[in-house]
Amino acid sequence: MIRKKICLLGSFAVGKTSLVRRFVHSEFSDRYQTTVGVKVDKKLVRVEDQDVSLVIWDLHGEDRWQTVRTSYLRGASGALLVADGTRLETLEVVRGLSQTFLDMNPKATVRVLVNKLDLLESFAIPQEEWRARIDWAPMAFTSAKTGEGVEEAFEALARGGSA
Amino acid sequence: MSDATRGDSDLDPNQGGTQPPDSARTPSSPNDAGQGADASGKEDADGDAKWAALRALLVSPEEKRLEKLEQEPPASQPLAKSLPAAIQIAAEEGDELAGSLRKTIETGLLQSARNNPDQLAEAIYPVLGPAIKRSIRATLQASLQSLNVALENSLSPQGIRWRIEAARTGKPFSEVVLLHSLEYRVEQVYWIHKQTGLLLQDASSLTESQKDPELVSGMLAAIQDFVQDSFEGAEEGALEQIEVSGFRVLLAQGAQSGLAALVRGIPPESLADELTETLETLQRRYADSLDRFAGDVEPFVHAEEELQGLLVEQVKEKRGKSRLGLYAIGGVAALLLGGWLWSSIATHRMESRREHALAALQAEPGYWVQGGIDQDAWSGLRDPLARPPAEVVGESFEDLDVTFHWKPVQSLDPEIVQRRALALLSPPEGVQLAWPEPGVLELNGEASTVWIRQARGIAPSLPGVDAVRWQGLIDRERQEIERRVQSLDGLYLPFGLGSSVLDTARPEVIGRLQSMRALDGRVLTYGGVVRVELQSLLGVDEPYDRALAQRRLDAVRQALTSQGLQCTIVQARPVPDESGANASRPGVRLGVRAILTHPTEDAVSR
Repeated sequence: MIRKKICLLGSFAVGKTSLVRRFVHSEFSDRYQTTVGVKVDKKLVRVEDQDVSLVIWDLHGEDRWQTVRTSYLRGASGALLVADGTRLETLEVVRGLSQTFLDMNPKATVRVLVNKLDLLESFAIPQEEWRARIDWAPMAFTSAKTGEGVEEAFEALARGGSA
Repeated sequence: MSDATRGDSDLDPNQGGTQPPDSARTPSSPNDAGQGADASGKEDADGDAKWAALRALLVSPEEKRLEKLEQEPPASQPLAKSLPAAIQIAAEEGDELAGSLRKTIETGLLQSARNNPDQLAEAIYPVLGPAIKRSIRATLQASLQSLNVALENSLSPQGIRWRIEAARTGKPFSEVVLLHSLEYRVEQVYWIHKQTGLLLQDASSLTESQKDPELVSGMLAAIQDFVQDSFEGAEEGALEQIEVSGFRVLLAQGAQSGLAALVRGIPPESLADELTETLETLQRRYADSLDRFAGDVEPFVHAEEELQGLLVEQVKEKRGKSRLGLYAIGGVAALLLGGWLWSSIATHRMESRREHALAALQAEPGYWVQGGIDQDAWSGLRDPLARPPAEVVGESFEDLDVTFHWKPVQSLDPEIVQRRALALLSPPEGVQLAWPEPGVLELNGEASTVWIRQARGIAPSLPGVDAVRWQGLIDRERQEIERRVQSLDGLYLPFGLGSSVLDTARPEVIGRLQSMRALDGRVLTYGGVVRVELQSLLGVDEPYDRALAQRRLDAVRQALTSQGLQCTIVQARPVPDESGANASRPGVRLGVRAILTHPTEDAVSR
């Protein structure tokens, strides 16, 4: 059995907790609940005939990413950096967090998720633009509401990187 | 340094310095010296000076270098420069250097501690200080915890009970409180990788409703991180304990991992030490696996055994005991109450039975009893002819739990008098005893002479018998005698006409004589005598012949006597037979009487 610590990072209200709930519990709620500190969840996935237990640290949304508690990032083998497709400014936060995270865990894998794909018409910039801007890391579009791209995002993280 | 080294190498004797000794060898040979010695003493002095000059010429550079070496300390500066690198290389190659230095360092430390302890203390304070502070704090915490429990319980009923226990056992109150407060159970133990917060291994004593250990260990790690971040700068401020209503999470921190124990109740201080010891053991045993840890928890599977060892519990059976105590007290009370009731009922029943027994005995003829229902020993008088006590009471005295002490007595109770009369007289069949009035015994019926004689001896002396009436009692023997006398009275013995010879061969004469003999024997046996009056009867046709009459009487007397009869024989005046059937026949008529000498006759009335 392999256990991996995964961090969910991103600006507030980008849908980190919703992504976890969708992935772990197959649930979604429109009600926004801010995460205080950190919430730990777990999901068992199977990668290449091996059980991988993903221990997901859902960190509270942080706009001033510099102040994120770096100790929470320590030892993570991967991070999902979540941006809100309708808010372009969240991409900047993601970028900063990515740097902080990789400084802490140089061997870890990061993946950028542009969330709220269900609100595509309200996207701040077109999808192609998002792709173009996020050329520094693997990225995907997700919707915690519909579940689109969620499983794949987590499983991709389960496959790659090391603690 | 390299310059200095190079400078020194200029003075190397193997280079420039080798030539002069070879070139100077000829003049300084022993042969040359021998020739000089053959000259005078001046020449000797000159020789010495020359030798000295030669020597100076030959070895002065070495002498100068030697002098310089002796005057200057060793070249420590170059050594100081190369030492760190050398030590690093030595450390990488093995522990040899550490071994070599150990003794020196130890001695140095020892000397430093002796000579200047303050300085040493100052030096090691940053290392030991936090640990000491932590230890003191833990001790104080434990004491305060005990104090809190003590205060909480000091005025409660439980506290009072504990105080009584302390007084009874002689233990300090605080110790008793501690003893009772130490109820805890280690329900789960998590071994958590410090850097990642991932669960390495866990052990649980719970079979169900267990939180996912991976989540718990993650959250615990997050909390740890939060605390350490929040109180930055206080490295010793690692979280040691988390308290959540009824639960405590004890935490032990190591370099690479930590142990968390989920405890219900109040654990003893020693549990934290056990946690630390186990953690140290685990870290030592799995050092390599911990170094290489990248998420694979397979190598730590066997650590569960160690963790299981921490799943201890100390069960305080206070409630169970007190409840058990209550049950016991209730049971005993019920038993006592039941016992008391049973005893009361039994006592009441026993008293009632004794009362009944006493009444029965007192009413019973032949008894006189002295005792009470609350007395266990009764005494009294009892006629042996009275009914047995058990028969009177209806149960044995053992059942009544009473002992009896009887003295025998002859009772005058009419019933006992009658019983005694029956017992002593033992009347035969056909005899009835009657008591027409108190103290008067009346005997009715037929009985043998023998029994009547015995009864006559006994009855008048029976206690309680004032008079005996025998009239109703018939002497069967006497009656028989009287009947026979009656039948034999007037017996006729015939004679031939004019004859005075009794023909004893005649059957009728034989029979009559035998009857007489039988009567005579019976009367003699009974007690009396048969009186026979003989009267000669003269036949009608016979003339009155007095002599003949006399002869006939004599013949009969002779015949009776010869038969052995003891009877009294008297003679009556002979008379002519004028009566009946025998009138025509001459003979002798016997008038028979029995004179009985039996006391019954005397005692007809008393």
